[in-house]
Amino acid sequence: MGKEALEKEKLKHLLDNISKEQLIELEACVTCSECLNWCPIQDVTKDPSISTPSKIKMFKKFVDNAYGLRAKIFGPKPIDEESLAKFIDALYTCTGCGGCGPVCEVGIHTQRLWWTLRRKMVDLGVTPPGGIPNLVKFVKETRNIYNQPQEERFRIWLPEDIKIAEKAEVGYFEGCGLSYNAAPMVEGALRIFKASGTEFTMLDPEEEWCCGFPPAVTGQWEILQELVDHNIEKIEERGISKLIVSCPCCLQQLRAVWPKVYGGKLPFKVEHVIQFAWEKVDNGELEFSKSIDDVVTFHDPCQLSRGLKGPAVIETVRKFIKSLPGVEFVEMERHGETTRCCGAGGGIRLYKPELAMEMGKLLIQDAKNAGAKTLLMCCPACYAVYVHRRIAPPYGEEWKKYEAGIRFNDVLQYAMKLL
Amino acid sequence: MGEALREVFWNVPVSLQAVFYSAAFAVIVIFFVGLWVKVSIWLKGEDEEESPLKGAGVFNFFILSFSKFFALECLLARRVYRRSPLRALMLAGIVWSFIILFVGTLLSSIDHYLFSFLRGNVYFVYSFILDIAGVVLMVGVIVALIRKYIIKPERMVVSLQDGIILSLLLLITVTGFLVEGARLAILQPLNMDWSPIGGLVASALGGIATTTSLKSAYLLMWASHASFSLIFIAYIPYSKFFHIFAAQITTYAASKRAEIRPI
Repeated sequence: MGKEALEKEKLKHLLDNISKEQLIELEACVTCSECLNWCPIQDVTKDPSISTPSKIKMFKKFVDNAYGLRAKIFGPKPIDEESLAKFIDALYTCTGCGGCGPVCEVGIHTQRLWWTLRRKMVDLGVTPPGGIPNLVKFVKETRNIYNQPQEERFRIWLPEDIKIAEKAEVGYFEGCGLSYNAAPMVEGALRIFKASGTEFTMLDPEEEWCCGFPPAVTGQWEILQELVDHNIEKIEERGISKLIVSCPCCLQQLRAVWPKVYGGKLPFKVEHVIQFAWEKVDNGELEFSKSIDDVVTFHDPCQLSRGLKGPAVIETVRKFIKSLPGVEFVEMERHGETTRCCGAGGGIRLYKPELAMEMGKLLIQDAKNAGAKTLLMCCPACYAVYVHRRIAPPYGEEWKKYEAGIRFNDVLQYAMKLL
Repeated sequence: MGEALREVFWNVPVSLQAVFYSAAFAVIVIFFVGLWVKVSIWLKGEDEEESPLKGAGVFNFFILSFSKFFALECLLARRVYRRSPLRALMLAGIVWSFIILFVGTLLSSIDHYLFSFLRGNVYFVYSFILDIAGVVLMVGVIVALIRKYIIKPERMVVSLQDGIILSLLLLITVTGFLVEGARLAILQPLNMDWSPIGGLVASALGGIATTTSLKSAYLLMWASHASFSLIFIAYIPYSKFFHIFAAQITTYAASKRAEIRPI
């Protein structure tokens, strides 16, 4: 046996914060391997040893080491360095897209399982690989995951004609991804507010802190309490009763994680910006005066289609796109709960950016196969990959040269031009 | 000529019967120790606020594991059917035949230990159903073996346990038919139409062996069949075949998930 990486004392805490349902899920996997057919990582690595069933099998072995029959008779068996390293590599060579979940034949909620296991490993003192620990370091220093100046969150580029109220019932939460990597997405949302005559407020650039999704999805929960408490306090100070969010990851975080960290129901409602926009279109408060001759498709972001129970939002997005004058909507073969991951999530760009780039190419091919001229999206991570071609160096340069042969845009930025 | 029936432990000496009972007792102990280890791990898990399993204990796990065997997700492999009708057919075949053979064994025990009812026409129907279930199980297992080891899709996780479990199931069915065939070949009952596969095996064995040699071979086949079956049962809680219980619970939980899951 190799050097001990998780000693007996730590193994006592192996099952802390893991639910009964998840422990049963570990035993339910029958390695049918259906999930491998839907996994974006498998698309580009073709390596079953880092797949969903393999990850489950490896963690089950750890549980057996700590609590199995042998452990009950002879005491827990430490986990060696090699086994732990293999598990960590598999656990983080994953976009956390959850594509394996809806196709699981025994109903394992895989996306949630990866969150839990990553958090478990960090709680046991294991450092995430690659540049992933920087997420927390940056958030601690600058309150955003990109280590950018706080005032640049929106103040430096905010159009002058957009008026932000000091206090309002409707609030808009930008998120780091939109602010620093997809600013035009924010402008699209704000123009929709303006065009529909909605009075809204936003936290000052220094007041809005990271929602905590990137640290949470990579297992680094120690910073969450501070972020959640601060953001909720500032949102309440603005008198917000309905918080509108563009980023699907922020939405997932606010709806599913914040209440858990906050310790109860949030003191405001949380809604996706396209749900808000569609309501305005539907009741006649928002009209488009221009038309466009275009064939578009929409890429369902993972966190909208699988992280949350998706249809309510993703169906609304389709209604909204179809309401745009002149637009012909075509569907990609993989959409809804089986949508293909763009390759940007789960910290993969900070660990294995070369895989992110290859995954990105596959989605483009899907959109072309559907006959689309424009691929619409509504997630800043997808936007960063496709519109800004932002992937960590040296792969970023190669990715920028890749000729996609299709246009990319955010749904609201696209819609904004038709106002 | 007496009434049609199957004598349990036919041609098996008392000493071998005693060995079987001792081994069966040991297997039951091993099975329940394994079950206890698994369930005690489950009980260490936290209760989630919005989980359908909130507050669930051993009794709930037991009820769900057994009752959901008879849910459409399991009996018709409904979740599998959405992705691959052929694989769903294979799985449903294995599930149905497994249940039928399990119930058949229970009925045989009741018939042997409590009151005798597997006689005459009832026995014929019983024999026929179990024969067909055995074939379905064998075909299902062979298809699974071909898929795992011959077709070998590129995206497939194959472990040693797959080989052990599928081989054990195949050996159990094959030796089961050999035992039945040898018994029929020796006893030569008038009506073998209700045991179509056993009858075929009997004809084949009758053509190549004498009654005396068949009687000795019968014992070997019976001992093999009993051994493989007991090993299989003992192995269930220590292998991924334990999914037959766990998957019923997760499938139920998945169907009950709240709109927003806690993470």
